[in-house]
Amino acid sequence: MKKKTLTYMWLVFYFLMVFLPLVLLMIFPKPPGREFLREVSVASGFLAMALLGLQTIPTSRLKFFTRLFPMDTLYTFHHRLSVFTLIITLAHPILLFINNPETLRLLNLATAPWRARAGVTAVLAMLVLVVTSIWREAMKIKYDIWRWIHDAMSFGAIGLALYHMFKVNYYMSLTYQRVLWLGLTGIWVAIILYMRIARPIKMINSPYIVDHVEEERGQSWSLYLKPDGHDGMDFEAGQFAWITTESPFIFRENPFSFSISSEHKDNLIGFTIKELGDFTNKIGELKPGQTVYVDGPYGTFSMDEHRCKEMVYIAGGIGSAPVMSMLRTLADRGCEKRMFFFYGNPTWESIIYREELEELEKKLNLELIHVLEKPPEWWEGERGFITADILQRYLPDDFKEATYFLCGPLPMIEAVEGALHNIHVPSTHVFSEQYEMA
Amino acid sequence: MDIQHIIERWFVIVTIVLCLGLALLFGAIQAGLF
Repeated sequence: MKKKTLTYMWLVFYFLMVFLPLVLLMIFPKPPGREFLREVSVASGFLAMALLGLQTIPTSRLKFFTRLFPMDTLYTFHHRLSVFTLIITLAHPILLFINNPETLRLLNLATAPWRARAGVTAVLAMLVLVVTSIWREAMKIKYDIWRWIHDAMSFGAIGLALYHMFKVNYYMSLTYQRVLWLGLTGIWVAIILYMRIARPIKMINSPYIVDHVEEERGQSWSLYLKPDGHDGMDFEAGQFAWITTESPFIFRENPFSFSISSEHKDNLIGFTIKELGDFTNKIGELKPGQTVYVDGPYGTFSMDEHRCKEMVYIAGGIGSAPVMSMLRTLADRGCEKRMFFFYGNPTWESIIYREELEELEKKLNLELIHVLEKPPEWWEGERGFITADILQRYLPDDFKEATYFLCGPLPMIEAVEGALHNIHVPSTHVFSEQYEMA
Repeated sequence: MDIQHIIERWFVIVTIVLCLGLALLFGAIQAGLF
């Protein structure tokens, strides 16, 4: 089936998952209605439940899903929709309290019935979930601790909210509503079981071992892995995988872009990783033969997905890793298409792959433009950040027909997308990969 | 790119508008306002 058709089918499925329980209640016979605010409160509760369960999907890394939607888009969607889910969750009790202040007594967990206790605890779990996610860094919560909090609170909120719904049993007394909610719960539970049990087992059964580690410029390391007892994986240049050196059941894996050519025939996979934190600081210490677990490939940031005339790559710092994978792949394929690479870095010495890029410039029809924030005194090239002026100085007259691949930190992506918009490059020609997902 | 932009810019907004609209509609129908 065509990718576009599948995409739209998923979008229809999404709306059905969120709105079907409520829409059916409006169409088919139901218990007698009550006050307006009370019924709006019920509706917000049902919608909050559907949205809460749905949040298991965007971050599930299910292959048939991530093949259609860019991973960073899914995470952005998850973040924004989670905040709205909290708001609509809070609306459920608040509207009840406004409608009948007597119901405020349900907040007393010592005397409230179990259905109310479950409901109040589910709302509190949602609150903890969203607050710790938005302000994790400000609250100085370590990433892997936060992952456990995130899982515990989300599973707790879903379970308690379901218990609350079934115990209140007003609209849930209808058979089709019970079947529908049990069906939705079945989907969420299946996704959770896949994420937390099936995928780690799959990773353990297909381990990799370190082949070698190379030091790169800019406090970065290239890590090369080979499959241990299996055939490895096929990936497209520009894609990425999740890596961990610990048990996949600890859920401490990190996403990294492949930097090696996808045309490699020896099953070797390679990543370039910058020292930015706990795990990344230890890449240089990995020894040949050490076991590494890899989950991938993922991502739609791939030149093979989009047939392009001329290709323009724009990257900042370690954002060059997927671009390097694409350039190495194109060199292996003997590609003769015209291409440009605008590469932003803080200093001349921090340019990852500097020497190899000079070699690729000779092999490919590639124009390499370095843009340095703090250039050395002798530097005569571009300075500062990648702007519309810099882009226009080098791009050909028909630059609006080229395909643009952007990769780097979010502020850089937003700035370059703005610059491309200002020079009227159609947004349908711009593809980006942000390096800030979690 | 088109689907990426549609999801990032419009999907959450459409979801919010539909949620609010349907919640109010459900409340109105059940309360007998229609």
